[in-house]
Amino acid sequence: MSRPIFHSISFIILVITLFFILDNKQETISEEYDLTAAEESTNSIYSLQEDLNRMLPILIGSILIGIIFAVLLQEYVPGESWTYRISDFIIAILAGIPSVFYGLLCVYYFVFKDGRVSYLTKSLIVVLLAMPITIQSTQNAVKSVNVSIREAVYALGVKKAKVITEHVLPYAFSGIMSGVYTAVSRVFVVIGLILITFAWIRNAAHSGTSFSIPKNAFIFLIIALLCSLCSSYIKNSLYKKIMWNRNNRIQ
Amino acid sequence: METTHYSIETENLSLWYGDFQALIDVSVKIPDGKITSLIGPSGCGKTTLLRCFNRVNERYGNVTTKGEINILSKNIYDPDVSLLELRKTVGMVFQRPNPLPISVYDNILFGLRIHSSYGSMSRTKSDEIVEDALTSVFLWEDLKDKLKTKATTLQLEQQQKLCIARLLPLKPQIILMDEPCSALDAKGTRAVEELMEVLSGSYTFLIVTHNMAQARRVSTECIYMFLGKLIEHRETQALFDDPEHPKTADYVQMRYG
Repeated sequence: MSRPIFHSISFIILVITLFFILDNKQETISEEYDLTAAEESTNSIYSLQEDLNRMLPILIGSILIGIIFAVLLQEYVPGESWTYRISDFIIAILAGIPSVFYGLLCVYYFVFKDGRVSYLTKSLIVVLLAMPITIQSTQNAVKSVNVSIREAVYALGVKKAKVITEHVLPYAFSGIMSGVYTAVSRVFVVIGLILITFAWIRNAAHSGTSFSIPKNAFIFLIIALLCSLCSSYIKNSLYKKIMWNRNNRIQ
Repeated sequence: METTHYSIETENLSLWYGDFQALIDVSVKIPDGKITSLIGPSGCGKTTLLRCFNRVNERYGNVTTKGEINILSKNIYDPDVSLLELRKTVGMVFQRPNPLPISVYDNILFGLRIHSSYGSMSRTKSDEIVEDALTSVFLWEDLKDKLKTKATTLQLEQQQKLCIARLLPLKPQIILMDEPCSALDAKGTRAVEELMEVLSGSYTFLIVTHNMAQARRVSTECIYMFLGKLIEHRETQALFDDPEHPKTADYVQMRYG
């Protein structure tokens, strides 16, 4: 299957699934949980769901800002400069932290603190989960664009901004999308696992009630898995491209 | 008495990559409408000097240049110089053929489309330009039925010729070539050399090469560089048969390099 078709199909699946979740959010929760019981802990799940609605713009925003930041860093900041080195170092650390760490952070804030956490804190967690991965993948994707293509275009008199928008970004598109899928996957897997963890905690707290895993947790995990699969597929293609570029680099 | 016109003139040109000085006080005059070759061991600054002439090395960011470069009697570091116009006048062919991953037809028109306003070219005019450019590099017969083929699928020799053809619609006056035949076999090399000979009256060629036999075959004048300095610049035959500088003699007689 050619890459654009793959992108399109996976993107459509992602959009449909997201639409399904958002559209059926309230119904799914009310089926699974008795919100009228007014358990504080249950409210925190409701709060998480509510927040997801508000978090999506944050997620999309952090991904877009991440892409722009990575392109500017890679194309306009010299590799030897302190700005580049420090940014690279911080991004590498943030991206290297396993998502379970952020998951625990979420559990702490959403479950043990009963969801009484500011919108800013929750947004920050989403940004920390999504942005470093997006930046790192975008940087790698931009680096993977063949040097000879840039040189050919520059030598014909194309301006730098035009080289980036019309040549570098289209060729780096696959790599950037890989990063986007990984970022979405990280956020959704964390939310899905928190929902399961929370259900388990609730069950432990009220022994005797049957332990059921929330349906929406599964949906989050399925989306995360789909995104992860897309990301792996693209990374594999990208790796082949990078190796080709490396073997054909201008001496 | 015949007066020599110079396409490129540099005066005390020095260049640094960060703290490393890659060119040291290079003063050179490249004659108009001839092929001049740049030879020297690896790392001597040949490619750096070549890339100064269309200012492509500036994109690395940590480059400092001192001195003067006049292209067609105009200092290219003057504030009123447009990089777009400079790169239109001074075309460049790279070591490895680098056609864009678009069709042969679009590759030829790519440069022209950048420099002309949108929609200013009719289909008939575009077809004529493509045919002329491909005919000039002896590719028309081979590619006239493959104009919509992706350029990256052509043979290497054809790709390199296409890269030269891509420059021609812009009507450059100088063509810089950075080891244009290093990725080609003997047949491809011969084809590109023949093409340069045919085009040399209309364009000024400056070619960087590691292949001394090639420098001898194609160029009228030859420049020998060593550790960032211009050591000797003479007519090719004289430089190879009777080098003035001992370092040049060591290199052309293959005692060094």
